[in-house]
Amino acid sequence: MAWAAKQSGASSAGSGLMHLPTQNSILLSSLTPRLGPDALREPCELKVSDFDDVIYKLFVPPEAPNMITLHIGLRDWANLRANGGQSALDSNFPGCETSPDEGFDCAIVVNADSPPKGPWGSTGEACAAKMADIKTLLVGSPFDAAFASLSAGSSSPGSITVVDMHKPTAAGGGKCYIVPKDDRVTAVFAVDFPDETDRAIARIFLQEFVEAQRSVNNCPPAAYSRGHEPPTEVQGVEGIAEEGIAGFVSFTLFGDHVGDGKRRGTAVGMLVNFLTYLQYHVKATKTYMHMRMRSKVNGLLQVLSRAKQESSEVKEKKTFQGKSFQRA
Amino acid sequence: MPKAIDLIDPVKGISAHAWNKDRTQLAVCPNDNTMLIYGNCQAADKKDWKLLHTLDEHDLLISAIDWSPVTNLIVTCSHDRNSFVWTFDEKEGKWKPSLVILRIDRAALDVKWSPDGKKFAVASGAKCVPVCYFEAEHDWWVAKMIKKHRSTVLKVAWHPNSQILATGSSDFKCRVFSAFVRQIDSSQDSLNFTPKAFAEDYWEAGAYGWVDSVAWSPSGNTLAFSGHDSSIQFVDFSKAGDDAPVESIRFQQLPVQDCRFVSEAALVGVGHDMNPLLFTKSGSTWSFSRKLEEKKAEAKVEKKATSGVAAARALFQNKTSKGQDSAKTSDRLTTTHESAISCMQLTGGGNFSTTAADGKVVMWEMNTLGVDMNALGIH
Amino acid sequence: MANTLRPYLDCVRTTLDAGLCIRNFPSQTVERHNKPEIEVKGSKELLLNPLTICRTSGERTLIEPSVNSVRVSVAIKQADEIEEILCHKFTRFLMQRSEQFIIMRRKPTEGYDISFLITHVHLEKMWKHKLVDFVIHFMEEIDKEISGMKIAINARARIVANEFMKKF
Repeated sequence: MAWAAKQSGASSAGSGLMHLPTQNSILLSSLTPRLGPDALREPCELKVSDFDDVIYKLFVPPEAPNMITLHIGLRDWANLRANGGQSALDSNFPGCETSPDEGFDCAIVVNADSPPKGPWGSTGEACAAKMADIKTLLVGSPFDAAFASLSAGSSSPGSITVVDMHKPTAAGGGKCYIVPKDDRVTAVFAVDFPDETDRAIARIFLQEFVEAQRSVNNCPPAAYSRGHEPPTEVQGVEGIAEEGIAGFVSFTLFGDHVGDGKRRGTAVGMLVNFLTYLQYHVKATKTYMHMRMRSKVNGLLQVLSRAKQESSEVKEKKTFQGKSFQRA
Repeated sequence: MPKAIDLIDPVKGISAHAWNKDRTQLAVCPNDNTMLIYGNCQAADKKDWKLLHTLDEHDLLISAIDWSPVTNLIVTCSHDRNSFVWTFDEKEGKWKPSLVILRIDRAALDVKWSPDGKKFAVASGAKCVPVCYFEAEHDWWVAKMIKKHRSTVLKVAWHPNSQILATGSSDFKCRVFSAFVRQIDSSQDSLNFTPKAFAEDYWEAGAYGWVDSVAWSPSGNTLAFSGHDSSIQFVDFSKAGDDAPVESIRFQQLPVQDCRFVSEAALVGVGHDMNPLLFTKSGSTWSFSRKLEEKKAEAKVEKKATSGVAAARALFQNKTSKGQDSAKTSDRLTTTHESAISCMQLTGGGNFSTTAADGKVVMWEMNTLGVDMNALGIH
Repeated sequence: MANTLRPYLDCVRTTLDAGLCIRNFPSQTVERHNKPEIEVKGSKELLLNPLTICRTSGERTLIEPSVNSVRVSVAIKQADEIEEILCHKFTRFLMQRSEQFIIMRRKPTEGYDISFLITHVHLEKMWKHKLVDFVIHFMEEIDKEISGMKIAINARARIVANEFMKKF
């Protein structure tokens, strides 16, 4: 359901089917009427899942229809929280944190009558938008923290942050390594897919990211390497060589890529969504392959049926009333 | 020009055919377990042919039919391991089958009446050849076995004296056997061989492939057999027996499945080439002469649907199923037959008829095919 | 390379034309059975010598004739990992539809990517020359289709990567 919503969201956003929005559209459509000018006051209990094993529960109790609680379950919250997750939560939703339900990792509660104010703005609608985009905020917090230090010139080389982005396959993958240097931050993704075909298509895709830097101006340089030879930035990290995975791709962001808040926000969103974006397009490619194969099969069958001898007998057909007739 | 009659639906095809003595009736098997007998077959147009009888006594495909001009009996053999001898009951106007116990446990592939009409021989997948004759006291057909084959027997051919039988087998051999049956045959004639008892072999020779067909010349002096290696062998038994000279001809065309002598000096082979091949003898040597059908005058493209709606419907049907607007001329072959020819029968005067899986019966009249009738010795 | 394709396919065509001289041949080992001898392999004398026609070591055709059936197996050119996968995908896709393809085998012979089994029954229902045309057309198309798909995937990948990078 979330998938379908994402797709329709992508098309309605005007970007065609190329990019996926970072916000969860189901959350957004539930939150906006409550926090926006409509001021809907209705109880609600809604469970939604998102990419990368993120789950949400939106709860509005009947006795207090202005209190909106959003429970969030994520991969590896403890790690995220230590690497900027907690401060991101505190600065964006000050005083809103509450205790999560069982099965969830963190939760925020928002009073619709007086929505909190954060760096994103002060209107209820902006609050709804931020809440629907909370995955980017939380999963992206280590990225954001690294970029913030880079902009401030206080980068601390040597400390690699590992973000567990995606469920690993049998071979591994699904992780992102954030490597800060004095003048740059490199994000190294270990990419894998459970299916052999997906993996092969993914390799082609990853190589194209490297090629893309030639045709796109001022984009962060990208590098690709196979699973058994991790890039130099992350060599030495424990268990880094993941033989059999589709490969490593790294994006190196310099100061000007994350210079202002807007660009920094976009960069975080793109990196958080990278694996999903890749998976989405790999699947779309497979669908395309299937369509091609289907039409080719039809073409081949036509050629084969040219070989079939045709019956010379005129078939006698019966009308509904039982009369027989011969087709001319 | 060969005359083709589209007798059976090409989707079915014809597995075997045989004519009655005066060639007014034709027995065909439409590649299943039935035998159809058509009458008025001297007519040129198929519309005038009449389906007289549909006989479905067999369980499986009928592999061969033979119609004796002497006794007017039809013999059929089938993959169901049985043979039937069919007698025409004049009073009832029906063909009556009589089951022949062949004593074989594999399919029967070919059947031929002896020229005197007293015996018939069946080629079988049981690697043996039952030779059957009628025992009046028991009122049934008795089968005696010829063995010695190491693989399926594909074809049989009777010597004109009705006492010698040639076989072609998928063990790459052509053999000549004594088929002398004391109860039937008065005095033994064994060509230039020392006389031998029934089922003893007189002679054998090999080819480099399955021996698909065998035939004796009208006089019985020459034996021909074709190999699946696109070869045909001629053996002259007129002066010698055991050490008769074998002349082997390799030809470029695809192999021959059935062959017949149209005269003492000419043989026609039919088969996978879809175009009959003529072999002729000049002096004492045989050679490949030519394909009998040089070129079909015009490649015909059927125009079945003529009315507007039907034509449009045919167009769309072609578009969806074949991806082309209509059947193209290049789709059709330039030969009259469009499948490998599987059965050939002589129709007298050097003429013959052929059938194939395309469902056509094709009549070949030698004097219309541009051959030198005198050179072939056909009068 | 392209100029060696024609002789290769021509050779397959002539070999098939000669190999398809088959007949209705009921089993001589099992009573009342009629099975393709090339699959049953019950009698050695009913099988002809198999022929392999090679264009390169990876691209070859095996033609195995017998008295009543011919098996044609094709090994398709696979230059790299993605071609291998595309070839595997495509042939599997086709073989799942082998019923519609009538002459296609559900599984390829070992060492080959796709196999056809043509029996005398097929030749009774279809025109031999068009059937041969189909096999040749198939061999041409499958090569074209695999390289076409590969190019299309690369093109998609390029667009996807460029669009992603432009966002930064």
